[in-house]
Amino acid sequence: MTGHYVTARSMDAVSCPTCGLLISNSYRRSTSNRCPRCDSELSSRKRNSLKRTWALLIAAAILYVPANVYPILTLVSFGKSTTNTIMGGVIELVHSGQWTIAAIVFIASVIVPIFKIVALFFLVITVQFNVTWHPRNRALLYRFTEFIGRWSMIDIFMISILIALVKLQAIATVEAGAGAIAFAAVVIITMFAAMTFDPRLIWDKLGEKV
Amino acid sequence: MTEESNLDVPQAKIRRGYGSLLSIWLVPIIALGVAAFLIVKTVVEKGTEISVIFENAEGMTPGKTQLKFKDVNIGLLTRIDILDDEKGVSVVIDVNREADKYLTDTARFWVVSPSIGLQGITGLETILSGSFIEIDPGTGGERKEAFEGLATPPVITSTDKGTEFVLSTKSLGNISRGTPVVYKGLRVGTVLGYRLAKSNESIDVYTFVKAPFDALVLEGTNFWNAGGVNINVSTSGIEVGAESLQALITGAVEFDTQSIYKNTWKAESGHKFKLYRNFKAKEDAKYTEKADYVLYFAGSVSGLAVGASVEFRGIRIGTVKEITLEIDEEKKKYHIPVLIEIEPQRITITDAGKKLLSVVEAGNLRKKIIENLIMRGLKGKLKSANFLTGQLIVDLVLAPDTKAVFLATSDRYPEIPTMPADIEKITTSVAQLVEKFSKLPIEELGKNLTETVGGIDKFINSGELQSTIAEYRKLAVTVRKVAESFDEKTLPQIGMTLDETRDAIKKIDATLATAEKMFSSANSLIADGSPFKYDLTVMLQELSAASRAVRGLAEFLERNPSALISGKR
Ligand SMILES: [Zn+2]
Repeated sequence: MTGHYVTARSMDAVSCPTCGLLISNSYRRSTSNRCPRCDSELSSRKRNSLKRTWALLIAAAILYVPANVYPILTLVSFGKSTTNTIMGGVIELVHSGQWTIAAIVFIASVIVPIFKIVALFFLVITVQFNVTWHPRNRALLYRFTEFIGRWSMIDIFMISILIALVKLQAIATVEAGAGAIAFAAVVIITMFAAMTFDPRLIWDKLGEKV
Repeated sequence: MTEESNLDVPQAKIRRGYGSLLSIWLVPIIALGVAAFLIVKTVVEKGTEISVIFENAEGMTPGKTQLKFKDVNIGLLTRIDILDDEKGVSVVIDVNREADKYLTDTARFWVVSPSIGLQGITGLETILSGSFIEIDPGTGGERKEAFEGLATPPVITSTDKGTEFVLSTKSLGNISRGTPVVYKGLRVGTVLGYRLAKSNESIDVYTFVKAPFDALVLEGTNFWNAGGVNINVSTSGIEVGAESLQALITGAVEFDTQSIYKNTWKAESGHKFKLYRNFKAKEDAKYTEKADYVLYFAGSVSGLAVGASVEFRGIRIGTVKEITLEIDEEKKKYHIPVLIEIEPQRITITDAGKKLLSVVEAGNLRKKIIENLIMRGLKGKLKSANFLTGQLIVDLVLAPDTKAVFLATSDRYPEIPTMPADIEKITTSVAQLVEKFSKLPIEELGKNLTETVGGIDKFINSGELQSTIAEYRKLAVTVRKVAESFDEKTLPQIGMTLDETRDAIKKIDATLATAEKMFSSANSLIADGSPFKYDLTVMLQELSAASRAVRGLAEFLERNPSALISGKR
């Protein structure tokens, strides 16, 4: 890779994480480690970004297993209880011909979390091992990961709404299962993992090479 | 990190950095802990996997179909395999740990799905929830993990409390496994099954009566097949009854206890009862106890037929069963043993102080009572039941003053001594009656009547009517009694010529007919519901009865004029 990327660091400056003001390191050293404009603490990179992302990703990956193995909800109607895992629910929806909902649930609950975990793993690994491959594409991948992350919350959101709605009526009761808690944890932890990952690290190695 | 060294206040940053580093690794550790906890929990809670073989897997879905006991989920069907021989399916059920104790060799499994069967519509709830597998844990035994499922739900489960009885029947009819047992229309039990009895001559129907209804089954209880339609022809018309629609279709076994047995003894488990073909058969066979006795009558028993009743003080207590002729070659004597059958159950034991242990004992006691009566002078004699037809019955009387003569030629049956019939007495009374009869002012009365017809309107509201009615009633009754009491045997005693008798009878008949006609017209003039009307109606009935009796006698004489001379042939 050629070193024509210009980073704040390569210019011996730091950008304010809050307001984006570019501040020269000489100012930081001589005056204060705080943004002169908004008083935010300045840091060239997110602190311990890689390690934090690693830890959160590993936790998410671990919790992804119970999230899929344990029932996400228990529906009790007419005295009979049905428990469903995420995939079980999708299969049931397919069997009942609800293709659209099945697709939405499948994408939001299965594809998105997997994609996020895999993508973040890919990013932290490439950063960890100083891979300089396609930094622009990786940056794009990161932005995409962050963007779709919030949509995997759709499942938990749906369960909450369903529980609230059904509890109002007496015909059936819906209860969240152990899988739902694990799933919520996966979603939240991956969101944090994406947050703690500092995409600027993608470019750092390239800058060092220059 | 290398950036830290650039900072002005590194000590604080480093501490915070370490703190967050430690805390951030707590997240995967906690996650690991949670996952491990869940895995351990699953492993610990994992129950036993059992396999149950069914004919087919209709209505069963792996991961959905539940195993239930008393409507509590205790397991889940996890897999369905087709048996190697393709003769059925083996379903694998994951049974909860708590239900592990039910998995013994007495446990039974069956599929509950909506069905219309002998027990009505069952499993309706499964229309909404889908089929499920039910377990009856049974009474325990050795542990088992492979079972054979039942094709149909068991008729009774181990948790049903009750008593089993055996009903013996000649023909099974529409009874089958699951046929309900009914008490006063209430379903209280079920037919469990049936088997050909050891003798190969009857069928033993195994019947289960639920608690507390099993206490209603006493030793004297009668069971009958209540299936089908009962047609009961009685004086009140024809009554068609069916126990219930279900009983009509699938049959039912009903039981009841006669009032005389109401304070007998609760039947033990396995007690054998007779199952009557239908309600009527049960009613006919109300008196199951029979005690045979033999009577030897001196002289002719003509007029006594098999089936004639045996009475004691006018109450039927038995039947004539057999009349034979015995000839003793050596003594040149002949006997006519009349075998009668007394139904001791027609006799109620009122002695409450006597503690009886069983129905058999009560039966014996009743028989003993009859034997005591014989000792105290019970005698049998022939009695005319109907003077016109000459029908005889056996009348049992207590005559301790008459010497009891026992003639028994065999000791097969206990003997009741006899005494001569009161034929002479009858004849005397008839002769007296005839005398009275001939003195009756019939012609005069008839004339009076004819005169009265004209003044009937005046008559109705006067007190005279009532007295006339009363008079006529008396007359009619007397006439009927006399006419009916003419026996072929007694006719020659009257001592009139045929023509005279015939004329007298015809005259009576004509008079009666006139009277009847007249009162009929009076009847129509009187308002409904008045006491006169009632009296008149009764009188008219009596008049016509008298008329009929007289006409009958006349017709008999027309056909058998010789009866006047020779008596009965
Ligand atoms: Zn700022």
